[in-house]
Amino acid sequence: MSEGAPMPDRPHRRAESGQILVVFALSLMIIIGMVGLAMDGGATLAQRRDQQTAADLAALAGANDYLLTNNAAESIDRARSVSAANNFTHGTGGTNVGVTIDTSNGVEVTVAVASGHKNSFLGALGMATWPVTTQATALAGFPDNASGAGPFIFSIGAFENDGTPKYQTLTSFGEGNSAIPTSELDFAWTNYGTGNVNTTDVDNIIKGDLVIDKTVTYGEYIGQDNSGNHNFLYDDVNTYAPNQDFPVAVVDANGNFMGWATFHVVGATGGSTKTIQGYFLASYTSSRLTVSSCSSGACPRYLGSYVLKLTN
Amino acid sequence: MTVPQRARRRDRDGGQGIVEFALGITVFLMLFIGLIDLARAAFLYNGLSDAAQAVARVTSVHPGDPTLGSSPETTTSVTAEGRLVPGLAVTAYDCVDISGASVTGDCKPGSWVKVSVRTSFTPVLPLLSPFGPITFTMSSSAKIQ
Repeated sequence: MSEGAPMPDRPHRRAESGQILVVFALSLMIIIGMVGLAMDGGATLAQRRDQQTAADLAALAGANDYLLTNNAAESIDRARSVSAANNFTHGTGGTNVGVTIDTSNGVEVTVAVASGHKNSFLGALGMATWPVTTQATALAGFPDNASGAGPFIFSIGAFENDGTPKYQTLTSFGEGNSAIPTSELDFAWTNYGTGNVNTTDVDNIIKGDLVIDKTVTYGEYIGQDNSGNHNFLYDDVNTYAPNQDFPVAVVDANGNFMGWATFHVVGATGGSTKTIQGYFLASYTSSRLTVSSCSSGACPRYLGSYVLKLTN
Repeated sequence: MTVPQRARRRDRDGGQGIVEFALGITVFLMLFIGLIDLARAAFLYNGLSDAAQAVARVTSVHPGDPTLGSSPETTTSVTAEGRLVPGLAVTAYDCVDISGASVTGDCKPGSWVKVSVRTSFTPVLPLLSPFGPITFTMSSSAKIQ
């Protein structure tokens, strides 16, 4: 052995360099893990939001499509195409878009989107993907319930056979003093009770002091006796109701409920004229209209307004 | 060089090594723990944003009656998001219009629910400890269905 050779130190140094390697490896794993948590975790949360939006829009599109076509296969295709348009394509890259349809109350379309988030950093630690699942349910249908219903009954004659309102521009509708409208340009007052119209209630509805939340079964008779002078009601419509959109009941020639429409009030004229002026809204979704208990075959008709909203 | 001279030199080298190591490890640990804190804070902030949106969406579909935000679905959502975001607290469910102005009375369909959430972040890095827990706040709005 030469004099300067530091033999006793060699094993110690080799051991130290081994420790450094272990410490470096552990540190690197922790650094990758923490950066991965921030980067991949954040990206996964962002994907979840995007995926929820895709599920929401797909469910709404599917429900709307079923309402228009009454065709389940088309509705499912529509939901999946909308999901694909939002970057979650069924059957691609491990993405599954499940669509189920329930028609027990209106039509409810549930879309479940399942996919995986491809991790950039955490893949190095054995977590290549994280599963991301989202779900949404949308309801569509023709409303059988109205919240804040207007005190007016209109005739089914004011609508085309396909339900489109005939009067979508300013029109005068007169009172015939009968329990139900006798022509397509006639209307009748109602407080959604039975027997004689309670004009105090009608007045409070017009003023907004009474909110009617009413569910009517398709085909149910809803006429009320309208005899009497109602001048003050016209005055109050003119004072309190202009530019308001009211859900209004629509009946057939026998006074049987056909569905809810939405009527935009412009004004009213009392005296001997006794008319309200306004027009119906078409292709309209009003938040005051809902599908309450409308089972298949007993749903009201489309009369310009329909329901389309998320329910879950 | 004699053996005692070599021994003295090794002792000096050893002392220098310890000082270098102490300085190095301090800087390394500061950077290391700082990175961990940064990552935790970033995740918490992203998670809080996600939680606000998720709770707002659920509340918009299930507003709760009579109090906004009192539905079982909202409670379930807050609990679920709380597992991702430690210390998550919903500070307010406000009924607003599309411009953000407050709506009085019942929060009806067509209005918006604005959910405000917060959580606190406590850094591990001793240098940041004087600042105490840092509070993150976030809000998100969704239209009542």
